[in-house]
Amino acid sequence: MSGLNKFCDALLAYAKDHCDGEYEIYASNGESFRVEVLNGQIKNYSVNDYAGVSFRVKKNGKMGYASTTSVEEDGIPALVAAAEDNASIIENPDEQFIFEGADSYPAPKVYGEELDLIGADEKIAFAKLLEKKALEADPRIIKVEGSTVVSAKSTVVIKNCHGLDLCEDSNFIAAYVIPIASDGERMNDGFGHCGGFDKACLDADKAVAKAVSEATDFLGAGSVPSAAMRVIFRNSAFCDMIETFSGIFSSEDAQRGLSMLAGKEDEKIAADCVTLTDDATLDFGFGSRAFDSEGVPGRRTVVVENGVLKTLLYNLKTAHKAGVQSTGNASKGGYSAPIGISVNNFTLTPGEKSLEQLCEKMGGGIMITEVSGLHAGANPMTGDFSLMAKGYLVENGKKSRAVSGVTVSGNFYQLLKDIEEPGSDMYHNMFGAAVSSPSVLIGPAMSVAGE
Amino acid sequence: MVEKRVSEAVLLKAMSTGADYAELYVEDTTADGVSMIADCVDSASTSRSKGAGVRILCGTNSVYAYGNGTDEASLMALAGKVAAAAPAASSAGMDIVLRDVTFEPLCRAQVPVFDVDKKERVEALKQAYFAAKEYSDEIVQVRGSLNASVKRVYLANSEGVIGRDERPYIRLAVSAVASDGSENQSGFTGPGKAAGFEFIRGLDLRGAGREASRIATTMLHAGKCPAGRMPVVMDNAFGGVVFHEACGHALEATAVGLGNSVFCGKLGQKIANEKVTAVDDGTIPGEWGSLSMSDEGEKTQRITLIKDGILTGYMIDKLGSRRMGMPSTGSGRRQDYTFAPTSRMTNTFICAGNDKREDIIASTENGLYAAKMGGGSVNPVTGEFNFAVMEGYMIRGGRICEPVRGATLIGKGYEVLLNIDMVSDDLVLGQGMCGSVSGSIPTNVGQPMIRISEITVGGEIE
Repeated sequence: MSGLNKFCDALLAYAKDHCDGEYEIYASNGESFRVEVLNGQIKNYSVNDYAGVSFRVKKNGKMGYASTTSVEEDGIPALVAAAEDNASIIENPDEQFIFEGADSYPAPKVYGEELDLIGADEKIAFAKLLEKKALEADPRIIKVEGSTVVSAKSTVVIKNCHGLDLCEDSNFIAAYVIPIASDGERMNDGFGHCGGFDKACLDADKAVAKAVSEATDFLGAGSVPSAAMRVIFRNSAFCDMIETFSGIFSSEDAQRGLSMLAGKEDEKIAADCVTLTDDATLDFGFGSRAFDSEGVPGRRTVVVENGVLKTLLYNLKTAHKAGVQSTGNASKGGYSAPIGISVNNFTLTPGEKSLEQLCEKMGGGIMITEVSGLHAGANPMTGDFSLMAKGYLVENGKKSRAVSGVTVSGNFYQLLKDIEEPGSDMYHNMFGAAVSSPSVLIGPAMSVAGE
Repeated sequence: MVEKRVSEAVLLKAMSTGADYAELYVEDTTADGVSMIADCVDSASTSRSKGAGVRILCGTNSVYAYGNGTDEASLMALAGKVAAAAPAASSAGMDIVLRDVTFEPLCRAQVPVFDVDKKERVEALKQAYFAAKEYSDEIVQVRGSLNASVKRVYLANSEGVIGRDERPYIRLAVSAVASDGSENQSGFTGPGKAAGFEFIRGLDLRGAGREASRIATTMLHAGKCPAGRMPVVMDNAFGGVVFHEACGHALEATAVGLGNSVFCGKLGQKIANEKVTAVDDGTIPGEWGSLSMSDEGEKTQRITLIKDGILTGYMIDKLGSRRMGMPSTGSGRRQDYTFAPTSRMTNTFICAGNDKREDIIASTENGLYAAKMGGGSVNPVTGEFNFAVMEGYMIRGGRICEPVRGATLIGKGYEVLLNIDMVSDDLVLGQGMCGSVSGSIPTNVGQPMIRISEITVGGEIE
């Protein structure tokens, strides 16, 4: 951090003398580690350091950005000039803010001290263990495409002209395994993972069990005739759906006419059983943070309560425009990106029934365990989706044969209204946005296309 | 960017614990983006990304380290990190003598984008933006962006090569939203080149903007696509995403070298209809996916992947070459210094055939006409793919009829290749960003109009 700190201080000093508007530095740096094992040997190994600094300046009410990965101080004048030049071409009349700071900040736990004690050798050994266990789990597992451990720690710093000076350290470890099963003719892969903030989270058996069952169950999976069918989205699949469509709760998209939830506060937008919260303050949540990307304190926000939209998610600019307070959802897609809005820990409140009980309630239909092609087959602006899916047929209330090669289609806005009952089995998304969801039973039949 | 002496020292240190190949990659990229929404310039940013990565190979094992520093001490530290992690722990005494290799520049900026006044760049974006906005009263929102970058790459490896490349990229993107008050539909265009601002000056900016809005308004008035198995006529340009997903990824050494592709061991065998010939060609001057030099310091090639239905080649990087026992095809690519390179596509397309567009439509009794494709994804192990149809129409009685929306095509790559039964003569390329293990890179897809005799279409069940 020292090189970066020195650079940030020099940048602040330069900006103080040369900028006639408000300014802010957002910097992040960290270390990452990755090992991938194949046949008991290290296949890929990577150890890295990274750092990046974004500088933004508000000049004549307009915000311009410039960023760099180079902490050589002779680059500072060009960085500041680029940000000012960018500010000069902005036309958007929305009022922009450099945050003055808050009286207090939450301190969610986002750094697992124990992870510092796990050495490279131990991570390599765990990757080898995952591979070994996967190979031994079932005779149909012919190989493991990847058995990987990744870990990272990072620091985010925000300093600005108002004296705001924030810093937060976070870390995590994760491991995943991709076994390949074969019946002599066809091959199929599965994915299982584990991870978190301490040693105990590295649960090889759990990761392997999921991966191996996915790889073997779907080996002989066939399609189904196209039909309107009742559907359960298993927890991880519904996390993916919520993540893909989480932008509909962004006030920025709403203000730009890109979300159909614009102006729907206090209206019924979902079934009674749907309550969605966003919470940056959970200890060891993957999306927890003391402050957002503008330096606004993290908080808990009830977004949908019993089907009624209570609020959208705001940053300083959109909150000012709407005449409300920021909900602490300012985000950056990387240190160099401009300020946007995204969820922190976004959670669909669970119900009472287990997945098995939801199946019994449904009687007949399909339990979807995986949806793919979300970046292409789902349109967050319209809510429409048509996605390749995998899962199990449910007959007489029980899970039966595996199904693949089908698509499920519908509209997410409608789906929110059609949720009949959320289950009790929570899943916490680890890769991508920090979304948590139970499995959900959908009321009306959905379009499932197959043969 | 780096002194020869320093490169030699870095490579020697990286290999000091027994590696049999080492590579130093240094990059300095400047990127600049302007975007518009709600009829005004909304954001503008400039970024500089500078850093280095050192990779060693020990047989088929790979160790990589990257960092921001590009000075001698930082590079030596990276070399030390990879050397410390080498699985073989013997010291091999050796010399490395580096020589400068010149790669003929395929992608030159005639008008370097950063020499063009920012106001002129904004003006160009506005032309496309407002053409989209003014297309129809139903267009309620437009997003537009003009992104440009210049990537300077330096590469030195233990085979003695020092290579340099300068890669200019420029891309306009317009997405339009049409609404009738209760429903939204969107359309997108995104023309790009590995070139300078001359590309934008020569582009029909207003036409690009109008095209995004035409798709959005057409789809707003479309009914839902019926689901089922049916013939699909897929138009040229971005329609080539089918081949990219269904076949291209499974022909990369990343999949083939580890035995994880359905096309392993199939060289010389018929894998597609005899009307299908397909190539990966990184050597087309100025094209979005072209490279003068691969990210492993090799010349890019035109690789014939499929000739008249017979599998003839794979896309192979250095590590893949070792795994497969076949020569590298210069296919090593990476997003930036934060990724180790691997086998990737460049400009990958189905070549022009002999059929005529009008004959393809006229000979299709009932089916789906996919005029514009969205994106998609594939599982190389199973060959299963899916992709979205952005603009589709029903074909009835050999004629293109009403527009339909919400269609998704799913299937298995090796089945679809055999089911391509007509290939027209109007090859066009389309630009995309391809994401894989070595990051997101610019690639062209492409094809002439083709017909797939039967495929599963996801949509609404009556």
